Amino acid sequence: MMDTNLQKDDLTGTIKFIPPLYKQRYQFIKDLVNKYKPKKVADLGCADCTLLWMLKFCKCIEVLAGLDIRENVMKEKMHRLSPLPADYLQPSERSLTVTLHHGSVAHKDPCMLGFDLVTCIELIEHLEAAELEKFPEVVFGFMAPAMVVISTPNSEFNPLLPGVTLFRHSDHKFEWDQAQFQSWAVAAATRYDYTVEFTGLGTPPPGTEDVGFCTQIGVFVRKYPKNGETVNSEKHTEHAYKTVFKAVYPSLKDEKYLQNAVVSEVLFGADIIKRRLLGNFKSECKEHSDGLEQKLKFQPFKYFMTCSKNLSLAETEKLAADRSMEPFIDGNTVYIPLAKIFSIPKVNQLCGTFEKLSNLIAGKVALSNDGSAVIVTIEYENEEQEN
Amino acid sequence: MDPRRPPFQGTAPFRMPCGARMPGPQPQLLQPEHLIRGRAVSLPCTSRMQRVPEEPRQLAGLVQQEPLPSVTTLHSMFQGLGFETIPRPVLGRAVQPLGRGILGRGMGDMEAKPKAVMPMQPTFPSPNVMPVGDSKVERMSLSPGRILGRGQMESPPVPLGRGAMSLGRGLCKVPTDLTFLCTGVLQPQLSQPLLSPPGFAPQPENPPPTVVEQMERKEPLMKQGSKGTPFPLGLNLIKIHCKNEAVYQYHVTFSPNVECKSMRFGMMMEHRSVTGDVTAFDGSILYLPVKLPQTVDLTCQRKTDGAEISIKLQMTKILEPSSDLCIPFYNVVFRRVMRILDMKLVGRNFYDPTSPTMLPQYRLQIWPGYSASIRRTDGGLFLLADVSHKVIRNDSVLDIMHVIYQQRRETFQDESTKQLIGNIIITRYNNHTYRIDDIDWNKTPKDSFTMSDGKEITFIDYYSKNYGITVRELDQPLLIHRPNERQTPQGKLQRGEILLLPELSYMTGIPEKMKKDFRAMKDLTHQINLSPKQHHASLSNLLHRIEVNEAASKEMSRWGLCLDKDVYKTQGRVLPMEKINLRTSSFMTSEDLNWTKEITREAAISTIPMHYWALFYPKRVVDQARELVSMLEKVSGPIGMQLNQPAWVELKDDRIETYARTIKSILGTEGKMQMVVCIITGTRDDLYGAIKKLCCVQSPVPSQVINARTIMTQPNKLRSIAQKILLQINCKLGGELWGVDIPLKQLMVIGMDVYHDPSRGMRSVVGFTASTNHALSKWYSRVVFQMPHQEIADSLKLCLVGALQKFYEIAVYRDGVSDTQLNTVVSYEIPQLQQCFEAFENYHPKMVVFVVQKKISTNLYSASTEHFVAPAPGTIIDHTVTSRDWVDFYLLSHRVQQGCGIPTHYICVLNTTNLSPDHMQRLTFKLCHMYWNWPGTIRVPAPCKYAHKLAFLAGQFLHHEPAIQLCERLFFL
Repeated sequence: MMDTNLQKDDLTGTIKFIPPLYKQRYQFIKDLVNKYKPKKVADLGCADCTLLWMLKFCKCIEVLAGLDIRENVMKEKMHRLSPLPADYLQPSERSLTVTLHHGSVAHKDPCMLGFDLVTCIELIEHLEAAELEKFPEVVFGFMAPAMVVISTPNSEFNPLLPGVTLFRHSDHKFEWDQAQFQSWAVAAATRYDYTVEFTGLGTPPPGTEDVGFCTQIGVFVRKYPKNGETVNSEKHTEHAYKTVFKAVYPSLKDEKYLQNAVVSEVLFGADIIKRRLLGNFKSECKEHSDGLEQKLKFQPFKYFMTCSKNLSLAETEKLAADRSMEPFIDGNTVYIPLAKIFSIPKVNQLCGTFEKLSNLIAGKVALSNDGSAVIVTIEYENEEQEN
Repeated sequence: MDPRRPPFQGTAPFRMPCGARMPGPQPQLLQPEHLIRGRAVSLPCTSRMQRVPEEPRQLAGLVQQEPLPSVTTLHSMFQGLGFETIPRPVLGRAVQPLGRGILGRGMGDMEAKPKAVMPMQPTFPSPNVMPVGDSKVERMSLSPGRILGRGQMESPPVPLGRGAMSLGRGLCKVPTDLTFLCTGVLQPQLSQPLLSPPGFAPQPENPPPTVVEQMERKEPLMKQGSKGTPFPLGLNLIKIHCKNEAVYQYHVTFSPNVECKSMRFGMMMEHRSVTGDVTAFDGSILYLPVKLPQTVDLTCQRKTDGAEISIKLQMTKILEPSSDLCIPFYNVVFRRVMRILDMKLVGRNFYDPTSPTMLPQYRLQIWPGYSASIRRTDGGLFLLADVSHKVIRNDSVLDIMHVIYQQRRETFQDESTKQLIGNIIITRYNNHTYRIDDIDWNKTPKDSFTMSDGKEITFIDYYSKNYGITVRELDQPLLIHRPNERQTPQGKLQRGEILLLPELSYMTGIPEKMKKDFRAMKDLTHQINLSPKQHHASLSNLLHRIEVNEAASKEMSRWGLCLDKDVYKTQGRVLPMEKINLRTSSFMTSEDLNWTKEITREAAISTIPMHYWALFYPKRVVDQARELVSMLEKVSGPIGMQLNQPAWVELKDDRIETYARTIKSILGTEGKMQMVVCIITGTRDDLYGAIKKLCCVQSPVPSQVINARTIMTQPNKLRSIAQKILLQINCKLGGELWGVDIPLKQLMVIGMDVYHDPSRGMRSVVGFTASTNHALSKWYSRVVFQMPHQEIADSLKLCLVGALQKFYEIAVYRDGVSDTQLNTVVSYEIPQLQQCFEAFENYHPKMVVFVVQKKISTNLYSASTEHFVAPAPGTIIDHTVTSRDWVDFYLLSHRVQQGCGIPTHYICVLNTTNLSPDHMQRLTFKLCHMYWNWPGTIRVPAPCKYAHKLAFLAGQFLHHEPAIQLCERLFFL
């Protein structure tokens, strides 16, 4: 939780929260996400997508969805939900898809099924009575996520806020006091088999504690276990929302990026081994070799020579037993067995299995006829002068 | 001339293969050596000319030597040169002190700008961030505006501003400042405390005039020539049709005043029912495609205190939809279009990181992309689109530092500084690019900085909190970026430092090591060099993608913009071929504009007999040295040059010290020495620099350095190598190789270019060359070193006065000026040049000044065949793509060997002569034939190229002005 405090400006008598309450609300959600590690999170009434933008940095989240009735507001800054250029350089382990939908929380759409967390930050007070009436059924009944967070202004706090006459915002259709919100929340929770706990943000100034938090929050947790997929799909099949934005983040879970990464590491590793083998291994070539370099030091590659004083007996035996690991030169081609390649830590880590390595580099890396070794053609230095 | 502008590129005598010219984002890092290699790849025969004789080296630890005092007074200069300090009486007509026409118009236009748009002006990017055209690889882009203005938000920061400053030249790159269509709350930057948040222009006390005025129309400038053969051309311009009738400009007043810009945006947003969804708002000026009543009064409630704010919209202008004022926000619209197409904005260009080309050996990848912007030219509103590639490393800066550490533990800091500084990085957590200006070794991520709200936070916490990033290495140093000084709208100068984590930064651009790898560069060149056909296909693909993407087309049509389906086709001309004059013969140039054969078989215009020369070579290349000399003797006959045996000086080793000592002692004992020729082994910048410093500064004598490899490994080509060496030696001795007919008999041609030294602050070196005879075959040259912001006027004067003789027409070709600096040239440099004439009594020469721009993104395609090909040398276009504010033309003077036809842009910023557009164009083309280091046409006029070579030599190796004794010779070739 962030440090929060309340400042009262003595001159104007205005109350100011530091950090501002909207930030505190976002932080509240972020903390919740960090605590419960949901994989799929939806923000209903996502407005300019600020919360979604903050959440995209949470490593646990794989699916982020936003829903808002005001398409233009959502579109204004939706592109900040796109992957950054640098995301493509080192694609992340996790996958992440961010989708924005245009639609109303009074309508059901199957794209909102299966979420772990649904947030409704300062949303319900913008709903018309008819919409509000449908809201619990849509969110708790239909979407039925594991957790729902709903925040709304606490009207009891309003007298402490400067300039607030009726509602805090002209678009608010209502503002509830604590009792109103809690009874609504408890009713919804009971009906749809959720538990609810109440908290809030923005503590009132000393002496006025009984008005409660400036923002009241209900955290709903589903009591029953996760629905099966079949149940969900039966619920509703028609799409009521329009998808306005979708961003799929580059991830190693995506074969394309995994292949790029593996092929890069394989070729780079092969290049180092080749240079080493050619005795042409200048210090500057050590670049980025990481663990590989360490390994190479123990294995002087002089053709088939595998023994080294540096090796422990066990290691020597292991290597001797596995001569197929050793790279060799034939003519102007260097053969580097795939087993050798597979032993490069980064390659190993990316592929996991030898088969996966074979599959990923097939067609992308030059291999020997039997497919057992990576081949690298030796280009002699004098080529440089050829022009 | 702004010292901060990027230095000249290694101007090749012809259009380079692109790979060679892609020094990554920082043009300063471009080393001619790489160019040479690049060239060598694709142009076997052409490469040697440059490559063999002397390879310009990279800066390396120079032997510290005492500088030779070379304080030269004007007087002594003239004496030395035999110049008359008192000029002859002036013949010809008197000349107005200031240029007519162009100059007046340019400036007048500036002043004519309505006050209301002035606040936008400061947003134009600093000169060193201009996107550059011809290298096809995005150089850098780094706009202080973005850095300051955007903070953590990834929302588009927005424009307006370029239009205002660019005077409608349509030079708009993507503007970066204003926030547009966006209610972004500006967030603090990392080191916010040092930078005040982007301020908002205070409202003028008096509301702007409420008179609705039509934008004035401009008279087209007379700039079209007629000489030559009409030729069908394609341009990489796509015509934009404006469907809207007009764009309406409104002045927005908030009362009571609302300081916070984002709050203004927010309030404006609330009134979309009035303004419509399509708006461009910078905080005080609002543009709409719809007409509202003359005055509209709106009210809003300020959320912070509930105060009622009244907003008054007053229509101030009705603009043509293609008005210059619209260009900036059209560019924002276009950026959105590119974003809709999933192109990523890096710097100023758009890339597609999802289909990279991997170069695993160098751990980098190349992203294909486009540089594209909307601009208004003589032909109307166009999208100027070029293909661009981004070279970007797979590894973070921290990874790279680890490698450096492993290699050179003891010199780690120095080495890191050397390798990292000047590079452009992109960060992992936002979409900004930064230039590494320094490294703070004393700080780590554990240190704190002050956020905008005054709170201290450690870097570790900051990244964790805001971006969920766990910093892994807690002891890494921090990278420092110093945004370019920038004026806020209030006129305050903003300065500050931004600290960045190496772990979270990725380097862009080609690693130095790779630039030296011939093979890798060849691969790279292959990747990024598109033929005109491929280039066109790539642009067509972009247009198609925009067309079929509903959201993208809609984005454009919101402002009534509609793109043509294909690039613009028009007609250019191919200028007449020129006649090349040798001593006894003349010939017309052939189609390929190369006369290597002729100059090696026939006598040059004049040759200087080389009686006394010394050849220095290390012992182990004695055989090559002998072979070279015997070959030089063989080839000297046809060239018509007398050549004696050299003094053979064999060196016991190839240490710098050995060379330096031996050369010094030989020069000391042999006073008549005409030429020092050194054979060195390998590419050794330090040795090269030491020899040059000795021979150009300390003991002035023309010198020639030859890399042993070039004469060693190509025995069959030794003849042509020797021919080129000899021709070059002849030039250095003061001989003349060839000429073209110059009808103007009283003409002096001046070339100027600037070299920026990346390692020595931002000191820049101005190279200046001037012809001193009517045949334009004798050249006077000077170098001026200047510190940032130092005025060049005095040095200019010095140069010019030194060169002036009895010439009554002076043509100046000024290279190294960005679009944003054109007015500096006009309002500052030219008057200074003109003042020089006052040094002579009654001397009023006429003058024409051209700014020469090579780094442009305009491409020419020859449209005479089914598929586009590169146009022939001599192709010129002086309409459509040209600027509305200047007399300008685009001339492709070199033969395109590889890639697309990128012409050179010539902007006439002053003309007091009677030269017509035809004269200017032909004169320029003639001068492109005159560079003696290349028997063919080059991309720029010879004086520019000479000035470039000179400035490069002085800036890169000499770090000092060359000795005045050499100023009449082309010693810098």
